[in-house]
Amino acid sequence: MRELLVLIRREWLEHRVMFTFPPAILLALVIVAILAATVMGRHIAVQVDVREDSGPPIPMQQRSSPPSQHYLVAYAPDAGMRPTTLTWPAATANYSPPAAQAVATPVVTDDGASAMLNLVTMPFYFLFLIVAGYACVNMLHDERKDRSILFWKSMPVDDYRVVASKFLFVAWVAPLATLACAVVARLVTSLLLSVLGEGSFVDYTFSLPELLNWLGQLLLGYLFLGLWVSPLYAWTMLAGAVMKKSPMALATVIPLVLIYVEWLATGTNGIASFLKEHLLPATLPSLHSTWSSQLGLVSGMQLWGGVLIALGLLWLTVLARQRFIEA
Amino acid sequence: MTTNAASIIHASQLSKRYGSVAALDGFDLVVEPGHIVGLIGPNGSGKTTALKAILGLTRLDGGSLRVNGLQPWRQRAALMRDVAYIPDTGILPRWMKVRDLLNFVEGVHAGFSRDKAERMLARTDIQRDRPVGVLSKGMQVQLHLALILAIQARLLVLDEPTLGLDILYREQFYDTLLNDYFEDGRSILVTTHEVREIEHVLTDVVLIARGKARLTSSMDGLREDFVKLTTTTPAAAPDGWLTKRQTLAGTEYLYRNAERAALAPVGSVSTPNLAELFVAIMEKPDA
Repeated sequence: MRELLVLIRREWLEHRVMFTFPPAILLALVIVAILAATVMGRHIAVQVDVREDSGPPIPMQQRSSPPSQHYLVAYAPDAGMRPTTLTWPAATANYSPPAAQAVATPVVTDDGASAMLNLVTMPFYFLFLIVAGYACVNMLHDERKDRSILFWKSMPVDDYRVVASKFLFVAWVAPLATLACAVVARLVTSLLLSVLGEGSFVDYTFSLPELLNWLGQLLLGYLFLGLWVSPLYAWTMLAGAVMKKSPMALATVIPLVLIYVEWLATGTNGIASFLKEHLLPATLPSLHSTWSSQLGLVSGMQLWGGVLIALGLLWLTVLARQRFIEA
Repeated sequence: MTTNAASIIHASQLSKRYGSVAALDGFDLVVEPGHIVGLIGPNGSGKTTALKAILGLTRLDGGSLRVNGLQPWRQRAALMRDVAYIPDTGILPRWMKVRDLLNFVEGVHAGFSRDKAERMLARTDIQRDRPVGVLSKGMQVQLHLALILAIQARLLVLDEPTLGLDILYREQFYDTLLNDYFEDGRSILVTTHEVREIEHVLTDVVLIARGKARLTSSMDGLREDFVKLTTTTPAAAPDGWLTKRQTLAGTEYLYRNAERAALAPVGSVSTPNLAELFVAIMEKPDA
């Protein structure tokens, strides 16, 4: 166990910049954007077409704020809905309706402010997956490229442990910095909007229970994120362990070829659907996620089927690391 | 060299092919405890493949190989508890700080003595908080040597360890090796092109060409078996020489299993150095 921890720490030392700087920069950008939007923004008039799932358009009322602010309160009194606030960067006075609509629909059907706050955290999740994919491709390729694999292999550590430590790192250690930034972004956003918005959020006041609920969902999502995305991690690690050059090309091209072959042969898109699902951080709290939807996801066959595929790919990665030393 | 059950390395009829090229073709090697064995051969002779096989870094196509009683390919991790390895320079992770590297080795290697490594590093200018990549090549070798020599290993494998180093570091390298590592029961297997600089430290030598061991002998045995005759009257030189070459001092003949007393009247008789033997054997591999 101690050896595994040492190996995971070694991964952290090698990749800490990669997994901390980008989310930190994104966090700074989010804070600056929210600050700019709340402090310097102006009222923007937007026509929001809010509909129920299958019903007719709901009568809308719009209430604009003082010019120094930039939010819109939309509510549908006839449908018995609470007033809900929509916000967006106020740099432009003519906000495009499609984006506003995308925000508006769930805002009215769910708790609007929470949904909006969830939106703030989404870029962090996607940023992490991009960085993690890149790291996975390179972590076994770089050690061959710079020949440091000869040093690592001169230590009494078998390839199973090395590959396991890399997977464990990217699945459960690497996301921590990003998720911490996401938490800070959400907190700062809610506080900024509450305080600087001068009560603009009529239906949102800072709520500790709500925050704790979201943190709980985030924790659950974090625990299962590594398993959910494990096929992606394992595949990219295998590509890095096998390819002498351009492992990213292999990691990208082969799935595309498989998707095409499946489509030609059977007319189905099972591989494409699988990849699409597992390339998304689906276990993390999103716009609509609830405890039950998250629990349904983490207990479903899609997650555990993906884990089985990942285990197979990781086993191949171990074999590749045993055999391929040069790059 | 003789074989016994306590051999550190026992390799018999090893074979390994890369496509149509036979890197090893019936290669034999035995390394006994307490010996320093030089594996010497030209480029492409199979030296590095043999070392990789011994370290469990490549899978053999055939033959039998035991290192410290273990099968390297199947039991590499267990093997590396008692085997240390330094290839040519520049394999330490360049992004890692010296202190982190020490912590890492201490964390994964039960036989590593942090105190010993620190003592060795204290004799150098290497700062602990610097990344390996900013150290000079010589310093990287010093660091690697400190890490490896602080490991209680029964066998140390060196693959061109001083390649690219200047003369000062090369001298220092072998001095450190002999003073701080070599003791009874510990063995060294070394490959190098710099035959002259390791000749004085070897106890045994294996000359390898085209994947086969062409000559296996102790250094004492070499001195007894081979003799060099330098003469200005070539016509008087007895037949049976291995190689002949013209020098400023006269014509040099190299003989195997020749009576020194019989050669003495013809010219100057001396013991050939390893480089001369190496060239001779490579020119006449079946001698």
